[in-house]
Amino acid sequence: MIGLTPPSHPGAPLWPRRIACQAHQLRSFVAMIEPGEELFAFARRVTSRLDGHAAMLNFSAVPLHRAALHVPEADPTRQQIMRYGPAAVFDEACELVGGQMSVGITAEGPVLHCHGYLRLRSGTLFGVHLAPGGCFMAPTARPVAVQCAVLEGVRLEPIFDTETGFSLLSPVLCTDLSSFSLQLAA
Amino acid sequence: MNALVDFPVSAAVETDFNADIDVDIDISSKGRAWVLRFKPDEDLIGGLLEFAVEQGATRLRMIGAVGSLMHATLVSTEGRTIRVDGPGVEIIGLSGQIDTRQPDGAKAAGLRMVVADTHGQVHSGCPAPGGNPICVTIELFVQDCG
Repeated sequence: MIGLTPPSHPGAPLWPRRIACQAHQLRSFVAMIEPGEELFAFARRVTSRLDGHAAMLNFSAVPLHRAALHVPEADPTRQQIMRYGPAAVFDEACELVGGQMSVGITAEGPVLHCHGYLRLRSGTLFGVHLAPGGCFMAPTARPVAVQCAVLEGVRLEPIFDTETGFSLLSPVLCTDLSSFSLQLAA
Repeated sequence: MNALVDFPVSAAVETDFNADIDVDIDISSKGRAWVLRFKPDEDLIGGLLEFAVEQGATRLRMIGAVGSLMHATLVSTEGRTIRVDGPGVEIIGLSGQIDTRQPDGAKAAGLRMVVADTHGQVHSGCPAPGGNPICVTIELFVQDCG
């Protein structure tokens, strides 16, 4: 439309445009999320011992009794191409039909980035960026298996990106493999 | 070395586990895995195909992906093209595999993507090459499977 400037990133493009780190090994395991457990707390519990490795968690058919999510919106300040407003909360029985969570590691613990889609009580599907601390498994449900894929030898580190104005998870090779062991949470 | 090992074992030593076994071991490329990040405006499928060719991987399986798109272009099973406008179309599921041995236009036919638009509405289909530019970032976990 005439007069409207399309949204854009605040900073100049950074190179390279693609980053790839090959893992030493791919391992896969299953962890159980317990009734009443919060999704991100579960992920921190499971991945807290993945010292220096990147992980991807795949959620499927997790019954929830509360879900909090962010929907992207344009940033009126144009400091970023988009931003997340306050979390929308669904305080009702719903289901995380599918979701994927990438796990990065910092000195303060795991950094989690999760997208998924919910089936609301009405049957409608609603897909979003899940809000940390706001998604709770139904307390009366049975434990649900979550598949966890771990790529050993690669870290996902949050790095501030001047091009987008966000702190983003970026793959970094682990150079020290001397203490290479994968300790799974109990 | 991250690899699956295929080795043929002579039938003559099947029952004698203490015998020296003369085997040929081929270290294949199967099983290599990567963590990828694509930056803004990189096409999701174009980037995956170029990466596969660079790495000599004929098939790349998607382990998982979390990211966002400027807009999404999906092809339904009926062949209908679906355009999901953004920016900020969230990738909420990416599964299947790409195959660089397939003809142009069919290399990504084995992929399925689920996205959410800026209203939370969910759309799914096969992502069309050239039609899914990254918005902010994407974290991709992929595995070489042939």
